[in-house]
Amino acid sequence: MENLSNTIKRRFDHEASKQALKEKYEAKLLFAYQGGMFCAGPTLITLLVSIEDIENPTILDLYDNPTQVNRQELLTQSKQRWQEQMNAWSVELAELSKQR
Amino acid sequence: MTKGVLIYAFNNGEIDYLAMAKWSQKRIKRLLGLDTTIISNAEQQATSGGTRTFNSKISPWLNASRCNAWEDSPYDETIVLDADYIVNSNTLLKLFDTKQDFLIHQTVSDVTAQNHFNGQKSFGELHFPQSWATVFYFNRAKNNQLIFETVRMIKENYTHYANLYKFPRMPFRNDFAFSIALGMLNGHTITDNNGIKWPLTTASTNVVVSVEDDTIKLEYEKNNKHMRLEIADLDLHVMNKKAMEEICASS
Repeated sequence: MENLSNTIKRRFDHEASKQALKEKYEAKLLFAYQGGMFCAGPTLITLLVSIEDIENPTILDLYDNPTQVNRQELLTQSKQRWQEQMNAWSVELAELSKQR
Repeated sequence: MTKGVLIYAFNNGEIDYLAMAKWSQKRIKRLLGLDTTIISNAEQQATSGGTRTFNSKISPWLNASRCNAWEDSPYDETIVLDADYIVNSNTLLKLFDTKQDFLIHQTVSDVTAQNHFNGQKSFGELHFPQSWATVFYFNRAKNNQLIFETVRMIKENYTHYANLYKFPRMPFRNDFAFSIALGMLNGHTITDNNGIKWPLTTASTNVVVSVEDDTIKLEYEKNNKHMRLEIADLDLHVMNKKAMEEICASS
């Protein structure tokens, strides 16, 4: 009973919770493709859109390894993963914001 | 290619690291699908790195065996974990997906968002960038053997390196030894090519941690207020060893 009472008295730390969610979903945005490691997000998507005339460009992965990619395939995967994780992040943040 | 996890768990009379490692072993199998090899007092003579305060008592810190990981691991690709690291997601599997031969945490975050570890981005008077040997990955690339041999050399000549990089001679810190070794083997340049691309989420010694199913619950004081936090699907490095012992005993 005392433990329960102590837990109720404690405030939910929204600031820390938001930071933890950010770390969790930023890690989920990372993915491997053709042996390279990429981060799904605006930077990668913008790069891939800006070189639409090159079918199989060689780009640097997160570890500065030149990696030849299928532009359209990587673009599709990046967009899909980015939006999936952003949606999940948004839903979880909304749930946590209800905590007191 | 075999893949697995290696945990060093040397009990020091104060903390039951072996119980922690066995508790982690089950979670690693369930969440990562990987086997875990535990090196404890039964398998190897522990090497002391000095002393440290555990639960308000000064006890030996048996942390100086990590440079043996190259020989001790039975796997082609290995993730070495501290016994007080709670695997609570499948994020670590990403370490097997890169072309990098050696990866280690080079950024740390305070899970309570109080920036308790800001002072540990670097070490010593020269502010050399710090890696965190709590979690690291290696494969059987020849260069990796050199990393472990260099860490061993640093350990055996620790006073010299402490003087050179201007940090305390005792206790031995794996974090410092791996940081220096990577710097040396990268041609005395500072690079993030060995860095794990997400931070080492860590709870400081003043945070009370418990685990209920796969939700980690934390309680702590922040700005003189009693706070609580729950995290799921995120791994956590727990510095409060007493809390870790209680978690392992109760779940």
